[in-house]
Amino acid sequence: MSSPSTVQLRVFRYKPGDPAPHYDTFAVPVTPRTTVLEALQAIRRDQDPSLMLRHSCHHASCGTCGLRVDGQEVLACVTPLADRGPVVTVEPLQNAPLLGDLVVDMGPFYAVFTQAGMPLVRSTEATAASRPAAGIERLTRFENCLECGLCVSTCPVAATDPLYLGPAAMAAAWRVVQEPRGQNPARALAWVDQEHGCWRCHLAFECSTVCPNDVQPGQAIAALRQRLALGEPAPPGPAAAATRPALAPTGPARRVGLRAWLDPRGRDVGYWAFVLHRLTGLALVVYLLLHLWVLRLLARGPAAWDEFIALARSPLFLALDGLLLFGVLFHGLNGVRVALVGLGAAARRQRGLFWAVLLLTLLLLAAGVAALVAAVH
Amino acid sequence: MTYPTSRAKTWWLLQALSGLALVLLLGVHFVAQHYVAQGGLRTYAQVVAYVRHPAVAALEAAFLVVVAVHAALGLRAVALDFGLPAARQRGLNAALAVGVVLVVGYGLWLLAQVRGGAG
Repeated sequence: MSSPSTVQLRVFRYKPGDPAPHYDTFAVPVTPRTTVLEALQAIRRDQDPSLMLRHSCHHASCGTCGLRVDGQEVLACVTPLADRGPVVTVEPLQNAPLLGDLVVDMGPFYAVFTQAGMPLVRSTEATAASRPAAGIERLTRFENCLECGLCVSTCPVAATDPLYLGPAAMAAAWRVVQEPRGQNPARALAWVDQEHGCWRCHLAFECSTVCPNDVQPGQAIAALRQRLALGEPAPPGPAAAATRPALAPTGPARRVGLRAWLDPRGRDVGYWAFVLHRLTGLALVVYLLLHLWVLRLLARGPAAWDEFIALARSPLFLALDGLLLFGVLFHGLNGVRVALVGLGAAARRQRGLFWAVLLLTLLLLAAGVAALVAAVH
Repeated sequence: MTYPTSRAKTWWLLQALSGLALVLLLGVHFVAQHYVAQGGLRTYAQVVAYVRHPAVAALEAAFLVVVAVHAALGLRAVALDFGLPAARQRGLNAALAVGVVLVVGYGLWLLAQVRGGAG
């Protein structure tokens, strides 16, 4: 048995009434098998009994102990603390009302499942129609959803859009579409077919990355879009006018907004594809306006234009041209990836497609820059 | 809060289709300007001669319309990413439509000026 070493656990703290959250640091002994949850329980037992945290089963079955460890959403009960460095930061989930310390209010998150047609607690007994059909094995993914909320916490859209239905609930809706068991699939489709539903998703796939049970909500959302775009239309009417419970203002905002888009901790390639696509898109809108403004020189005659062309051959201008070319190439090629993945084609290959997009972008960029330099000389 | 019965799918598909059209148009735009146009459009006279070709003018006009629409849809998507309330969506749509009309109108006016050899 190895002797314990010590880790500094930097823990997010907030109590109702506090003016602002802060962090407390606790020294905790760890062995190679100590989990984050065990360390937090040790803090509460030995150092600060006021520390608030949620947990239940200790074996990744209940989904209660979801947290952010060094910026990444995890289940604390199965996350080892060793080998994470001397200081480890523990924070509550994002995009949910904060109750205190590491505890968020899961009420709004749970309530959305009912709207998706998958209530956590049934109001009626199981009927013949609600029993699973033969071949149910292929549907075990959503059955394994722990309702832990990690996917909503990591979702960049949930970080900025308070009306967004969220990946877990839309995975539940896709489950209803695939295997209704007495539910109405058309209603589930109508529910997600809205501005703040499946069409708001930007396919960062962080939800699928952090899901501890491989539910793959991102792929489910892509499948919902495919069904809506290519399959039967969702009926309009009351079913589409679904509601989402408002987030109760029980604590400081845990919806972090634009900052979440630029938080590099624990992100996968799909996330960076989303951020880069957004940034290049906004830059290209600015460029479009700038381009039209520069082209006005053409209306002023040869002297004005030739003066601009001389300026355009400067090294600074060429460097900006290279940057522009990168933006155009990445945005265009990744746009094709987004269109394909967003309609359910190759959703499971989105990582490979990202690397292909990046490689093609760099190859074409190199060719373009070489052509630019040759044209100037 | 009640959601509107939205045309979200139409907006998303329009953005995807305009994006795919842009990839094609931009490809042709680049190739035509840098490899087909004689001299590579380095002087004013070369630019005027280039845009006077009817096919080029049509290509540039189509490119302008599609890029303006795609950009407007992208800005709309960003606004909705930040939780724009349903009550303000109509105003945003109208503002973006005006923006598209202005950009396209200005671009087409400029194209006509250059084709006429203005200046």
